[in-house]
Amino acid sequence: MPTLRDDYFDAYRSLKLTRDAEGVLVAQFHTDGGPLTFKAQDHTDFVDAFYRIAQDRANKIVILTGAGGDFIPAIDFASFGNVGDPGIWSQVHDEGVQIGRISLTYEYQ
Amino acid sequence: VIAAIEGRAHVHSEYALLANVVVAAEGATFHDAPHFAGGIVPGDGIFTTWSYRAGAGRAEAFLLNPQPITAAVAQQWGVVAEVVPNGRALSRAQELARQYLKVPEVTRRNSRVHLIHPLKERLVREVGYGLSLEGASAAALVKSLQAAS
Repeated sequence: MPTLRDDYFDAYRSLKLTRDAEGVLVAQFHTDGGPLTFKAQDHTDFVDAFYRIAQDRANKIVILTGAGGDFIPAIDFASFGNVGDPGIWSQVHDEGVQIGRISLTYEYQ
Repeated sequence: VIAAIEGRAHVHSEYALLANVVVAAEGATFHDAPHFAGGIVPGDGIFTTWSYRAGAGRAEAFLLNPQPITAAVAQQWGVVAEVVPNGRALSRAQELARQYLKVPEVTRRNSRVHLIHPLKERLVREVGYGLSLEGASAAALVKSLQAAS
């Protein structure tokens, strides 16, 4: 069977991806190895990550988890900039819609 | 897809609710800190996922509640499938993964597709409008903070 390149494994600052020989992918949310403080860059990155994970048939099972004893404990609002600016919110909107459409599953509606 | 939850699931817990099975440590807590508690509409799919899994009444109370709920409550609501001792969530998820690997790959993949499908349909219908409402509320929050400073 053809396989996709797994170069996305090292692409995300706040998502550590580890896959074992049987295809069980552990996707771990983290900040520097500890609990994740969710930032605007993560909102962008996770759309791409969830899409790539879903598309890669070598991922047989996906386990989502956190780091340092937490799942996702905190958010950095300031990292999003001025969320009252329609240009800023437009990106938040578009990314939020996409992550729901993907839902870590390859088929699209 | 399995979610293994230790500690605080207080931001974007809808990611966990996209899983087929949520395993939570007994000390885990669930909360929606960024939205209503922080001054904006819970419009990004957090209501869609929680109401899909827990029922609308529980989801609304959860989203408007300034306090977290425990893993035991989330299990009673049907959001959490299993509660395990602290530190055991990931290892229990790995055990479940081994069990799921025993069925043919197409069965496993297609079961995922079928089981997530109704939630995906709701997300597609609801999240665009929800995020538009949330965006307007974010602008209103910024405006009120600026007026106060």
